[in-house]
Amino acid sequence: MSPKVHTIEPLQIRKDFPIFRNRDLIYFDNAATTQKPLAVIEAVEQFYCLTNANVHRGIYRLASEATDAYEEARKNVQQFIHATSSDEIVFTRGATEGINLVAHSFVMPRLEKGQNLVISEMEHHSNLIPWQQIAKKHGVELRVIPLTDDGELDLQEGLEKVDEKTLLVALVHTSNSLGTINPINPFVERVRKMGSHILIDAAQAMVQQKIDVQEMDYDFLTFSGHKMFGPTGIGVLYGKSELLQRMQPYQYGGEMIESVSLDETTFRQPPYRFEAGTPNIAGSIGLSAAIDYIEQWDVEAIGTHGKELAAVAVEMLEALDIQIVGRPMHRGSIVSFLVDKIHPHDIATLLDHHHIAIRAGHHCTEPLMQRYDIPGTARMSFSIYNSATELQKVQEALLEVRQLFH
Amino acid sequence: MEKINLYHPVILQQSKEPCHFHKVDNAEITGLASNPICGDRFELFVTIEEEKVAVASFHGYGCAVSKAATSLLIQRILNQPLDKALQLVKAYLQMLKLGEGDLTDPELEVFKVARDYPGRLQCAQLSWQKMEELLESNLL
Repeated sequence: MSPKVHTIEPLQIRKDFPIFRNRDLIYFDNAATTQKPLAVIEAVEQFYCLTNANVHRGIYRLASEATDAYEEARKNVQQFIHATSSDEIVFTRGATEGINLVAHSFVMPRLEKGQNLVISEMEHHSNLIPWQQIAKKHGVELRVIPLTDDGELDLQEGLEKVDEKTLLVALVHTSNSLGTINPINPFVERVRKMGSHILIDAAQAMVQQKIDVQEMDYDFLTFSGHKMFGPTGIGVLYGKSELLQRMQPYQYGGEMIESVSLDETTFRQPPYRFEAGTPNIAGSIGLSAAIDYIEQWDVEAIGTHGKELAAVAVEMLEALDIQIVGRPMHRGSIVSFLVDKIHPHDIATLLDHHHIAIRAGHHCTEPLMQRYDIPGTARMSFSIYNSATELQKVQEALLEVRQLFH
Repeated sequence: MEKINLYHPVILQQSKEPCHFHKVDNAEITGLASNPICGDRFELFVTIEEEKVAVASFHGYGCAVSKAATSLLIQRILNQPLDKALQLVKAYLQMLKLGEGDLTDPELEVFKVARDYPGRLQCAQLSWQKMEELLESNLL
């Protein structure tokens, strides 16, 4: 493997992303989805042009090549997150499907009266609603770790929520709304002590720091390809082998069976048991190309670049006396804010006039907005192609927003 | 830089200083115009007396466009015969839908520009659609 690059040079990196050649664009909505480098676009195109066939069923050479490419992608993901085996990598549509898979195949069959599930107040709807609905249906308690006013988990109270009756803790690694990077380790230690399990929603975390599922000792980890330069519609659920082995299928169909009669079906071993139907083959290959792209750099350097931009953004907003929503000690590459009483959608529309793309709204975290009694926020989220120079332009645009509304 | 069309002086003015922006305790008809996607939420208050809109007001939170559109809605229907009010509401919504129509009201026509903005047409429609529903149910 070639040595990693430790510096992020946005102006050079921008050249890897065709969209910046085609549009005048300051793209600060990376928490929603990142742009795609040519390497990823070409990998998908090459697959369709040269290798396309269905996987795991063909006898002919082309089908075998397609299968190899798909399984190579799985191995690449395994190595990226340091899983023990590629059998622990389930391809999904995205982080959301991974959570639903765990809900359906791990939690629901095991859940008994008197048990509880633990989440936090800052979860994305995708890591709230499955648990909320299961808790209602099974009549178990959904415990919610509260937040401090600064937008951090109340650690002490949070840890106390986890007891020997907790079947699963489902926790977001990095908040998509506040940017908070959560302390996961204390929760892992706690679930081990209580004989519980933990699922980490790492949708915002994959290009922020090294993820080593063995070292971190997560039971489940879920993420989306499209937030790490990969295509949409592909994601990953990592699960410890011993857990996946004991889980029932999530969906039924082709590709996931060993043998079928009209009365009985035996299912394949994980991960195939969880991949019913033709998978997103090109997507997995695109994700694998995205991982190769990311791995040019030390992933910590990518994370540091995002954090530094977030720090510059916070400083800039503070200088303008703009309210920052969430003041965590450990912030990723995300900053939420509110300008006076101006609606976040008006801010986003006005910034759009300057070709600056930011997000406005509740960011699929409505309970979090209720916690802070706000209708939504404007949010900037950064990636490797963003620079402090772009933030200068945001500053100018925000001054104009203020001027217009006063 | 492109001209900021969406924020026409009418919209800015009406959103900064909305008219009839208050709650009414004993309104005959109340409705909630709410868009959960963006958090816009306006309570609408209407009382009909002798087939006329005798009381109309609104209160709540929304973006400049939705607030201005609601402010003008209330001003336009207040003291109008019920059928006239409903007719106007329908004409406005039709104008937004098609980009043209029978409406001759320069201030309301400003909102046509929302058609050109991704995701913003609904801001101009929000309270008007709810009002259409409220008035229609009262006509029956």
